[in-house]
Amino acid sequence: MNIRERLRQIGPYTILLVVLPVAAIVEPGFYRSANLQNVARDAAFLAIVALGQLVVIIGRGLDLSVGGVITTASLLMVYFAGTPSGSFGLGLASVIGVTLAIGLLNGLMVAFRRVPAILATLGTLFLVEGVSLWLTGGRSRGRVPEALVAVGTGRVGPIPVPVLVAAGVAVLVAVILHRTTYGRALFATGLNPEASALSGIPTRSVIASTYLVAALLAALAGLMLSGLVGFYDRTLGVGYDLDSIAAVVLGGASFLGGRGSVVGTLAAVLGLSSLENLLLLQGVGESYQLIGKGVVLFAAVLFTTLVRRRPSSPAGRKAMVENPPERKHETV
Amino acid sequence: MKRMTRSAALMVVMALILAACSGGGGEEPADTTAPPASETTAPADTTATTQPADDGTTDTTEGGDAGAGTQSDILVRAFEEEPQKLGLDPFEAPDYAHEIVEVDTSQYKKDGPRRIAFAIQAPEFSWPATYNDAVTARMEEAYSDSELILSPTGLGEADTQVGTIEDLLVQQPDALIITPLTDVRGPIERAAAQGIPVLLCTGTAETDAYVTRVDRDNLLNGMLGAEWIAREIGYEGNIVLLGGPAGVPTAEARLEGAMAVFSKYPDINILGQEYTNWDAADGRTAMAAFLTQFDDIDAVWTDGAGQAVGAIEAFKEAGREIPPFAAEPLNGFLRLAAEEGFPFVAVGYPPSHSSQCLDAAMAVLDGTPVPSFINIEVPVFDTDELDEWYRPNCIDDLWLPTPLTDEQLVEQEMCEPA
Repeated sequence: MNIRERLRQIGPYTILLVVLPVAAIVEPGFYRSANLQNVARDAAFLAIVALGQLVVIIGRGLDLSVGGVITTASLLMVYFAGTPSGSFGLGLASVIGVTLAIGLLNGLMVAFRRVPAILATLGTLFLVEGVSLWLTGGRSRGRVPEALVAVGTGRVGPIPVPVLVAAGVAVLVAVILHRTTYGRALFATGLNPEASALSGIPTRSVIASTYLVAALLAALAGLMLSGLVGFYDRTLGVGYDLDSIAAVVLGGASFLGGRGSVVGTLAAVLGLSSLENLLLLQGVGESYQLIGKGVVLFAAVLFTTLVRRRPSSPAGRKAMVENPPERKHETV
Repeated sequence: MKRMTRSAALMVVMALILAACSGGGGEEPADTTAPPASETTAPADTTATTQPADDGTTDTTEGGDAGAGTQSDILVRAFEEEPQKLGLDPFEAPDYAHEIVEVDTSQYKKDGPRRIAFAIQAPEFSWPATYNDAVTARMEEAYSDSELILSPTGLGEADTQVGTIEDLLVQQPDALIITPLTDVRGPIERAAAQGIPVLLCTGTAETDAYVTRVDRDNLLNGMLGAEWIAREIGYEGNIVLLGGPAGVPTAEARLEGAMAVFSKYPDINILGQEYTNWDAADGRTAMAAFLTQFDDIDAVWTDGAGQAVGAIEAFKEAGREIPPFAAEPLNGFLRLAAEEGFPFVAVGYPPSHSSQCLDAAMAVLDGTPVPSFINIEVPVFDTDELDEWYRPNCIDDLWLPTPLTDEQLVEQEMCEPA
């Protein structure tokens, strides 16, 4: 393994490698167990969403509707289960049904109608937000069910329940990606859809299915997140779309498909959450928070893209031909 | 916080993508070079009052008797009298409170029917939803022969509001009401140049080209909560401030008012301050971080109920005693106060005052002189009046006071029959 390849593998950890030592110097309170629990729990929600996004991006897609799904899941649960006459089962059924419909719509538009993913999922986002607004008139009618509050705020020993759920989801996604025929078909489809189709892989179905996975995981995150906040919040999912995409790509995935890492994604998610928490604890002004995040994120992106880039010198290209970088699908 | 992250993430995602993929025809303007509205200091009677009714609902009326005198007198008196509702000493009114003048609107006089354009905040959550409902209801109730054109803009897309207002101007309305979510100087000045009277409803702008502003004095709101907090903790202790969205004038004015109060007391230590977008999730995240960082938080000042309920949930989860809170009268916040028993002050900002903005616009088109600033009177109360305001049979997401009757609240599934 050459140096470039080693550096490429470090890429997902760039933010963590910057934030953790800096935190030790400037903000020792960062390492308090209660704060680490907060960081881990906040990261857990983004991790679940990002793992769904990872599956989509491996298949050469992109899902901008995950934020809308998060808010919609919370809305439906509060609407159908959060009133004295409500039913948790009805709320859960409505969440699953609507989520599947959203994922299916995205999948059909992208895989079968060949609509660019960024447009199809943006359209779905607008649709979902509009329907939510129409349904509620901007007001929530109930409260977050206690069962969700218990999940969102609960702990098993020192570990927040959402962290355990995220860990379970990560293992499940890793197994599906690397130990199943479906996973191999997804990587192959992402790498080269035409060749995969010629070799008998149902590429359209595979791609469509990734949007179902992303929607279901976003809904799961939305339900737990609403339990944590304990209050219906129409902006609950704001930011998760782009944050999840950033985490997946910083974690080693490529918009060109066929590449992505569960561990890398989790590392990038932890890095982003740690960075946000550190800036919060430091109490720096709003403008400096934005500048700090921008600088760290750009540095991570530059590092990641530089180590991936093709060498420009003839000697470098010759070295790459003689010792090509591993094109492994996954580095779990 | 989420929107900040979103902005940063947007830049990164765009960089990554690049790296990887190497109206209707109204009347002609009367005078496109309309001179600025002339100003006098004659007494004005356009005031807005909000009074709790005996049945616990609120009767919001325009033109009520807020006391004799000019709007300057009324606002100065608000600085003096409203603290006394909480048993606090009177505040000294800021200089601008003495500078409210009466605006001659005779040049805008137009007989009905009229076309009123309203660049309004999108009904993304309950506050703007009620705000929009109130103005629509007022239009139907009092001005059914006229036309109201609503053009909403979401908080998250505030940067597009200028374009929205320009679209409204193309339709040549008789009056333009704006709820400013961003810097709207340009469209205000262009409207004024076309002879269209502009009114600001909730918020402000760095220009004198508008006719009047109908709003609550947010500096006063921030001061009221802060002064109550200061007294509650004996003028010494550690506090945390959770503001609204950064850069939004309403939130910044409240924060400025709070800081002005806290700066008077050297023994009050501000442990941390964070913008939280009036958002429960952001409030919870910020407070959870503060709770891990500081063992002693004696009080929390917020400028909105959204972040307050999130912060309270963070206290509950951390198993820490909930300290005194300053917030707004949202029914969900009052429920938490009733359930958890912490002391609080609630300083209102009722969304229903949008209807008074419409009334002011009609007054301008009547040619009636209006004050350059119309201060909305709001409810101000603390723990002692919790039972009078909290409505246990209603949803959390109900802003108080509400313009709706009990029957309407039940009809709209916002309350169970009492």
